[in-house]
Amino acid sequence: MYPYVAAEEQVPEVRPEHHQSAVVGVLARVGTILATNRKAVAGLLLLLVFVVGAVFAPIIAPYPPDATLFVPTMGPSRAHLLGTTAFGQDIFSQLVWASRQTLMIGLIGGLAATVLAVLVGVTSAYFGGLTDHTLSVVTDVFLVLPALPLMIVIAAYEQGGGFWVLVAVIVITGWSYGARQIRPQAQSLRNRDFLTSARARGESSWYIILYELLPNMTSLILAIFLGAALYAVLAAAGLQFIGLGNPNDLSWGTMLYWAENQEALLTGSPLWVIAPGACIALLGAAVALLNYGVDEIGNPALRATRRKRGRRAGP
Amino acid sequence: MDRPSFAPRPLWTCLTIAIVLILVGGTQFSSRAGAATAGASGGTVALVDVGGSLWDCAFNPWESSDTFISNGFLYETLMYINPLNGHATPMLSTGYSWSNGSKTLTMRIRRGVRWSDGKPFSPADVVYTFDLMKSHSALDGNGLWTVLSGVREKGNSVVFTFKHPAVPDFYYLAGQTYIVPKHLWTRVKDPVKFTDPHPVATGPVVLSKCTPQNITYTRNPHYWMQGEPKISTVQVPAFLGNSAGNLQLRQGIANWGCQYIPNVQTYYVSTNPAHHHYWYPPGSDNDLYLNLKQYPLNILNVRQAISMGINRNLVSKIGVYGYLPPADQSAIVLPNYANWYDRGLAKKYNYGYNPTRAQKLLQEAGFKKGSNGFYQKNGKTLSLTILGVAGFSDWVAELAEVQRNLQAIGIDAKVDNIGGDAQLADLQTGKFQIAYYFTTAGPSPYYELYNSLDGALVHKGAKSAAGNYEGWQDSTTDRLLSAFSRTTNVAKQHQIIRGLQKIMLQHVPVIPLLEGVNFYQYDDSQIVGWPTKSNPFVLPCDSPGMGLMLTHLHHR
Amino acid sequence: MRTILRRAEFFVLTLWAAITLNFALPRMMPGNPAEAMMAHYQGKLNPTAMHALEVAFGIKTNQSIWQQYIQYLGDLAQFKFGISISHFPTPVGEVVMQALPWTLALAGVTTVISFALGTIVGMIAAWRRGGVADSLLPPVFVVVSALPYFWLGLMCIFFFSLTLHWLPLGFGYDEGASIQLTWSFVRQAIVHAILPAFTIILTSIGGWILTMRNNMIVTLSEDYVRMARAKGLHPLRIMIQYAGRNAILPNITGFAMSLGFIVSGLLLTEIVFTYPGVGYMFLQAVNEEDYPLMQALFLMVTVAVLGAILVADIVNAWLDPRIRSSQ
Repeated sequence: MYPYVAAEEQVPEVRPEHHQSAVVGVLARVGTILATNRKAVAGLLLLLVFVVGAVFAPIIAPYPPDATLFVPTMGPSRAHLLGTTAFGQDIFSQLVWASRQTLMIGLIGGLAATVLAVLVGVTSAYFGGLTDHTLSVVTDVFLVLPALPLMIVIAAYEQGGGFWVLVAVIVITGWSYGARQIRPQAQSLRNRDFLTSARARGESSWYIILYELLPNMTSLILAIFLGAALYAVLAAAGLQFIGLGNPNDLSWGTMLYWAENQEALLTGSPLWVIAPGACIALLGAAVALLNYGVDEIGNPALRATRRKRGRRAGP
Repeated sequence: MDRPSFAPRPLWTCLTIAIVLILVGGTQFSSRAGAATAGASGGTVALVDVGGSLWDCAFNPWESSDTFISNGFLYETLMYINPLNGHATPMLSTGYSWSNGSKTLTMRIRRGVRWSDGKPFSPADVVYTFDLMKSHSALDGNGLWTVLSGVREKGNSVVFTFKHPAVPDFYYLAGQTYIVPKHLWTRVKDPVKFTDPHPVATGPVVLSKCTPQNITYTRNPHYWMQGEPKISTVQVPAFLGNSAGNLQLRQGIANWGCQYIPNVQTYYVSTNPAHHHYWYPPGSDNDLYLNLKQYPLNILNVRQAISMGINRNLVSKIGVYGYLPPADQSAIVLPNYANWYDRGLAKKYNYGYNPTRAQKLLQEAGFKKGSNGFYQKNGKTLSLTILGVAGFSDWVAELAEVQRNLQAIGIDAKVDNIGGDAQLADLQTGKFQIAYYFTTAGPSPYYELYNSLDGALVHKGAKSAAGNYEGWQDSTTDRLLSAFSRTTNVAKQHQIIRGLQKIMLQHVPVIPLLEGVNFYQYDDSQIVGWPTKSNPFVLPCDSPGMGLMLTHLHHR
Repeated sequence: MRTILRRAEFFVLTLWAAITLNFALPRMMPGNPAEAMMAHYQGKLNPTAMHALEVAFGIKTNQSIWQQYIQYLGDLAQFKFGISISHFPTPVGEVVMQALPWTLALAGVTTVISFALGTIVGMIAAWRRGGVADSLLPPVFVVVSALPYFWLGLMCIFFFSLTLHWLPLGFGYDEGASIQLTWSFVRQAIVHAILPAFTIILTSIGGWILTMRNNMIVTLSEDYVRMARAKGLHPLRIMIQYAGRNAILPNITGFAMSLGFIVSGLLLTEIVFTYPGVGYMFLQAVNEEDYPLMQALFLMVTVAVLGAILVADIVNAWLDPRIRSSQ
């Protein structure tokens, strides 16, 4: 589904920074990105719109999303910005409230998959040997197993399972992509002087990993998280659309399921399909733009150069 | 340095456009239905009945996944028993009689019938068919051999002997058992796994061509009904999804549909108001089964309150555009069985939507409204979980409204939608509080009442329930049901049904929610003779009625 | 040699994982096919049919789970996939064969087009740094790749089929038409494939363009490319034979590794367009608890992906002398 590969074969040249906390590292990275990259800023702003919408849903949405109070299948009007569903619910209110579950799945699913990916990738790279070999093979196996069929089968096991089943499915099928990206970078950092000196100092492996290794991979981890979050949102929406989520949940994916189920496109409610889908698309675009920006920071060679007058751009 | 040059872009663009135009320009939707031939003979019927997959071209009347297109069209039954009114139309049998205290059934077999391969049909085929079901229990889906003790030929009739009287099973025996040719099936190694790709049968049409994409039937020139069928072809294309099938109905490419169409008025009727019609006759109720062994469902007031607290009209409107009529608490499907229905009794108990009275019933049972808005007793909130099926979106929508109704009268209701097979498994083993499920249909109210109330069906130990999922055990009920199965006297039957009605109203063992319907659309611009509300000679979109229907259709 | 051994280990392990997962998952699901069949008929089946169905499907087997597993492995080795339950009594092999050619056709054509087009465009974009292609395409395609496949498919249906009536609603060909090797049928098949193919290409091409572009940019800064320029070679030759040929290598391995995701996207598109391929059949099989059919399809998809990776490895080794010489 998402063959966007962040040039993982090219391991960026990373200059190890002084011992700094991971949190500061991330914040510094984010700050750098925002200051210099227009695409990232655009992505972030778009993301903020959705987050604000989700947080302030009770205020923004004019009606309760589930209330079947109105005339069904109405077109857009002043009272109902996007019209009503076939059950007589306000589409706009549903859209706003539904953003909560979609964002949560993206956040939690993405986070969980990233944590697992980092865990496996770093462990594999740092400890080497048989651990590395085993974990690498496991990673490759999970990478190759076709994600959608696996997801469908697992989701069907808990039909109507809802939020946590979706998160579990996303983690199981999505972690391997990130792990495969972490490993080479962790490997290249492993043998650097600053790590050797930390080992000589007698620090424990976990200390080294947490405080020396990870802070130097923040941009990659951030990129992986954004990729995983994107995957989570799209995968969850896809599964819910097919009907394998809990149809009583309220998310953009289930809105699409009901719209398709009630043949919205053919019975005069195209907005019921267009609106949640467009939101998913925009959310995806926001995350992708942000990711793109992070990628460019990590690998300066990728930044778009601007043509200067009178001089031909090139190597 | 030179700029790299490429093939002139305009040329590629032109080529692409040209190719696209050639491909798209030639595509036309071809009309399949109602090929025009002068006179009353001829005509094509195109049926849309979406199965969700391509055809297997397997026509085994017992085991094929495509039985609905083979049973009735190809294979026939001894009689056609109309579930809408109980009328029996002679088919392969011309008449019957009960004797020996309803333990012997003699059915006269029609003479002069031929199989589609030309060989003569005889009572031996009937006996063979039933014997096959005896030796292979996988074929006996209606469990006839649990009540039959023997079947044999007697002259031009077939005599069935029963272990004990089982009059209602006549519906399954005569109306739902499809007769197969002995001379071919004796050569079949395993009738359970036999796909039967080249069926030989007695029906009004024969199989002309079957591909995974489409089945074509043509008129059977040797059909036993003189002069019928008049139409010449039946086409049944395969559809993977409902949208494509519904679209063909809308565009008039198909003239017969058995589809659930959302908003059928806008989608189907308005595109051709003069000729696009629909009729959704009810079958049997969809019930809320209440687990009577569990608190608080073992309290009568609670059950009554639930039945009165649900706005069935609204549930139907929300869930299925109102296509399913609200069910009656007496479990008598109206208007089908209007003459079985005791109107006075129903009015006396009055289970119409009444949220105020529902709450009063709860209060009388000792429940008090708590601060959270829900009733409670002894510190426990009145909370109930309804088990539904995630894959049936109409159920999901209906139960969501039921949940809202119940919460409005102070019951903390939740809905749990799971897979269909998982739900059935839970139903059969009593692992639920309230569950939403079908009841069996038949030509009288007996079948639904038996299926939901008979004490022998309940879950006991290792035996899972085959009905009566709520666990209703009452000797009066069992006596009434048993009495019904032993009598052919119509007046007595009506009296028994009234007794069962009273039990439903008095004790509320299950709550009928909505009446399940047959979805049926038809287009009479070229073919007429369709069953309608005023002329319900068959239950449309149902085997074997579909075959009998063909004998009434003809070109305008 | 070591690499070959490692690859072999990877293939065998993946295959084993897929087979065992295949075996375990359906059995972990609640319910059984007889119940699924009853639910499927929506109450039209007499509840007494339950027993008949269980006998027909051979459900109440006395074998232990290990015996079933061994039996399952043995059957697989002989390509015996059993009888489908939702298409009872048709064997699984026959059922799968209905769908397989469609998926192969759609997958093959769209993958080749995406890969070829994407690689070429990426190459050009990198070559002309700072040009329109370079600054506009990447963000546009980043955004397009993030669009959900199925929504894009629905929008295409809405605009091109329902509103403009240019293209059909979905499916592989006009409903009810018989499959034959005539021009009219082939034309139908192509027309019905346009929208699904378009959706797939649109969402997957972005990945190829960006990867190729990124790789090209790095490659273009290599010394040997600078040398080629200094020598005055034709730019097209440099772009394709020097830079492009080397930049494409990670693309091939990336392609192989993303096959799992590509296949998923394909299946989802089939579902949206009710394209009569493996993806749609898989969803139906899962909904109907058709174990044998599900297992066969899942296994087939996994084997196909593994096969493609194998091919990609071979192509990679052939193209990259570094790999060949290190053996």
